[in-house]
Amino acid sequence: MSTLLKVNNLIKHFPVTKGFFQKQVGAVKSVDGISFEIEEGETLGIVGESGCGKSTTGRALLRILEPTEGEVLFDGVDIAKLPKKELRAFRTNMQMIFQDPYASLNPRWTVQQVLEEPLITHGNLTKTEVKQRVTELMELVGLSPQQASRYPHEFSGGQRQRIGIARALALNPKFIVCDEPVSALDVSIQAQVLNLMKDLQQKFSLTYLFISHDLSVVKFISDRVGVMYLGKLVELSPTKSIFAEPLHPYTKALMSAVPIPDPEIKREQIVLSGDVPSALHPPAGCAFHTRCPVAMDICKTLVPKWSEVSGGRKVACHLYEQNHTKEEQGSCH
Amino acid sequence: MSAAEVSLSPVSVKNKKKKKTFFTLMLRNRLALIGLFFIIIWTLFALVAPFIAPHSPTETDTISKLQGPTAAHWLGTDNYGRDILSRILYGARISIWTGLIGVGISFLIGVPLGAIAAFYGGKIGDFIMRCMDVLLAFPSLILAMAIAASLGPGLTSAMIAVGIVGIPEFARLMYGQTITLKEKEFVEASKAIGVKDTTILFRHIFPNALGPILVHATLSMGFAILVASSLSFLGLGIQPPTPEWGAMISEGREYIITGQWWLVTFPGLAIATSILGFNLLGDGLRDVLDPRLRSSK
Repeated sequence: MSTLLKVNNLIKHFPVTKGFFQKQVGAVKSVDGISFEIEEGETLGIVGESGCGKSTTGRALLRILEPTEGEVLFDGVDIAKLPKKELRAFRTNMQMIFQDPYASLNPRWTVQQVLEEPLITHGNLTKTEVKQRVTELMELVGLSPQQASRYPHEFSGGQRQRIGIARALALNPKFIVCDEPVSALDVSIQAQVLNLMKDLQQKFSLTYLFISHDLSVVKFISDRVGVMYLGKLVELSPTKSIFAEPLHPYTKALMSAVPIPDPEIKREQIVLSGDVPSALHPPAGCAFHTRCPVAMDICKTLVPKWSEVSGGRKVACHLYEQNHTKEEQGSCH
Repeated sequence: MSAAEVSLSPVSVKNKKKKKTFFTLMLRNRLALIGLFFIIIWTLFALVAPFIAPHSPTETDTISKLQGPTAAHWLGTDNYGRDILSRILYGARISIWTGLIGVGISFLIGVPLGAIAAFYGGKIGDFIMRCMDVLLAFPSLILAMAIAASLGPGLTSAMIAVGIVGIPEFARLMYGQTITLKEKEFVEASKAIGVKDTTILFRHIFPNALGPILVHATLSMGFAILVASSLSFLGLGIQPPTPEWGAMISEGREYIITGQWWLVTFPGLAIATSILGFNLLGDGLRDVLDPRLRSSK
């Protein structure tokens, strides 16, 4: 497997302006310097509380929002610096599936029109070819092509999400950002849509960035999971190890909140005190130190490094940095 | 449009079907039909006024002035003895035309300005919207007077004045609509696909913003006719003795007290029915153009 997407120090700040002349008085640091890689064909799950910058990350990767800083290397091409015209052509490689299937389809367009849009924008297909492709896409996501002349409001939530998936697939992209694609759906339909997404991934060797706040969904679909807190990645590990043995204190608290479907098993719950600090004035040092049950003095001043601990597990926490340096010192002697 | 019909006729006949449904839906919308009826009637009257008017609209007859409805003058005569029916028929030409052109100017300038200001935002957007605020700060009649006065009296300058006065309201309305719509996920999806900004504006934002704007346009028709008539009352719009509904009402005002009600009632009814026609049609169009509001049966 080769690396498809390499993100280096991605930053997205939203300026906060004041007064008539729009003087900038601060910035909401939605995404504050994150780096990760996505291998070809894998699913990287991103979890975190609402407002931690998950969706902003996804949108900044695709340049639906202009990133403030940072590199997004897609097959070696830096998307963040592509000129507008080239970016438009490059968009065939990457698409997005949206959270709200009610808002992601233009209510005045038939399904036919929705699915035609990407084909007409990019391809030089003839009319019959476009129609054929639309039929193909609808069958692919499990809808009847006869429903193409219907409007979105005539479909159920799950069906609409299928239309959204078909639209994302229309251009044969390699990489799809899925922004909470099932959180607006009923649990029974979530499973269907997730299975569909898995099938499609195998069929077309797609790479997913799967954003969600639902840990069980992420556990089901992801190969690796990244945990975000206040605009930063705090941990990134293979799914199995992160669920079995979370490293970062925040991840630990998050995992302890997952219910176990067995009343006999008792587990210690880590309940975090306080609220998430404002992204306008994030705390100095480690952003999590205000709520961390094991915070040390160093956490209040020094930002922990984003470093690999073991076996492809990355974490940003002073607990592991110390261990790390101790080990290094030990090996020196 | 039955469900069975839809599933049997897929893509190939879609375009034909769409046109057909537009008219059938329009025909089924009773209120819109009533509106259309009023508009057609007034347009017809305006067109054939010279042939059906019983008298000349400007011919004075001091002997039979201020007469109530009689066989010779169905709707009575005014203070110069002019036939009110004939004046209303001829007045339809000017009043409806002023309304249409005035609102047309406001719509064609205001809507793009609001859309651009909201979609691109930043300094351009601020500049446009602050200019609109300046226009809104003046009472509309004063502003219309100033514009009409600087352009010189006449029908054209009245229409332009009425049009400019209406621009900021359209711009504001479109601005608000665009601000909400541009954050919608289907617009983001189009961006992710790589659709050009202008295409997004025309194909996604404008059609979805159209409903409230259409309603506002039909409502401003009445306002436009009234402002135009106020202008002519002040001597800045259409010059007397050219018949114009608003001017007829203002001239007839003083006779209400003395019991000559027909001077204001009939032109008033003319304005009311034509505006009602435009309002009903606007409401109907909004419903027909929105697939969510169509009945599925």
